[in-house]
Amino acid sequence: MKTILAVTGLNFSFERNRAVLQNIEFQVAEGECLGIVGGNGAGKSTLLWCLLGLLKASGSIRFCGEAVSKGALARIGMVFQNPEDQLFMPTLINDVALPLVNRGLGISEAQRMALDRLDKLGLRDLAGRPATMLSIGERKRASIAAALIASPELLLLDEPTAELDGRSARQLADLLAQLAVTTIVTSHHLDFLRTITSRTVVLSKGRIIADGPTPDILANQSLLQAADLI
Amino acid sequence: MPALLAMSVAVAVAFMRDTGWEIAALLVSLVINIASWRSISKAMRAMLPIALFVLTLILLQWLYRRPDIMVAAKTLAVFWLTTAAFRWIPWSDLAGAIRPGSRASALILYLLFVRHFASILVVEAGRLLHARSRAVPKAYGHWAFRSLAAALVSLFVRAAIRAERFYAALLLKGLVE
Repeated sequence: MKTILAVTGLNFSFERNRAVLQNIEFQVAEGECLGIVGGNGAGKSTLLWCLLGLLKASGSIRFCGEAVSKGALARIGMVFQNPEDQLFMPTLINDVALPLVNRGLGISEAQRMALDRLDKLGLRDLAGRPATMLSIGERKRASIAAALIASPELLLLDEPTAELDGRSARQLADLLAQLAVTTIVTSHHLDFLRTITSRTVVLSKGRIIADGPTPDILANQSLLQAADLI
Repeated sequence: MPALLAMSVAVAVAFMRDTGWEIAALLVSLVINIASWRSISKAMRAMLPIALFVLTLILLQWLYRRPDIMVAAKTLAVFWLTTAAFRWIPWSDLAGAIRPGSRASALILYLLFVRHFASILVVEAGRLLHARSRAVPKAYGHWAFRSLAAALVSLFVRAAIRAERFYAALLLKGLVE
């Protein structure tokens, strides 16, 4: 199976002598859904930022065999922890259509595709409303729609269940399970990860302490305890 | 059209040198701002932060013995005019007018970012000041002022963090270099 992302010897620190990520190594195959778990401050979000090249880390990050560049970023979708960081247009349909318009597609065609995407995510009726008027669950789905509109080869989700109630988290898990795109999701919501991921990497204090099938990882109580997850 | 007019007057006010014109512009901008709110009480409440800012500015000028009341007048006039302009801009129509690569689109996107970021900051500031008022019920005294200063510093830090994430989101959408 084709490797979409290969990370080798990744190290990162904000300050000298205080490493945030140390010797991170993993690969993600095409179509795989990888979970990254860890307690608060384990380095999950920092790792995502390093993968996108937004934080300069040492080591190697290869996306589809190439170093992550500006061109590669256009093929990666990201769903931020706070949807307000990526939804800023006056209406939802414009938010979702914007990446297509920016790539040169006509506004009516982009809006038609955006409406289609919103429809698939159950947001068609809200297309004309601003993101600020939606519930947090709806905003999360809208940010996923915006991230998927340009058909990315890799989708990154940073704490997608943060602030969601149980029902919204379940709905989001169902939605993500249907996506046919390679996905990396960071979370400490273990039930959510059990539903959508096939493989899980456990981060603790900036190091990978386990990498394996999700059911095995989540059944290992001592491992979860060591990672501050229970 | 009213938004464009208010913005144009704001630019003109920034370059004014004549005191008489400056005072006239100040009064006109006040009327325009109140008109944009359609409610005097709402307009007055919204003016409180800028009034505090201008008072601080005058106090600092007085402390450094460099009083220049026209700077404060210009600040007020430009703020009132630009906020009125922002309230009148037809945002939904603007978003539909974006055409890739055009200079007008870059300006529209810039205005949309500013509006969005300002609204985030307003919400953040509201939450922060509310939390502070719950923790420090007294309006005066050492802890009241100290906590207010800490809250404002915290707001700047939050603004910087949000700006960083916002920039990352724009970068991923291919909207910034």
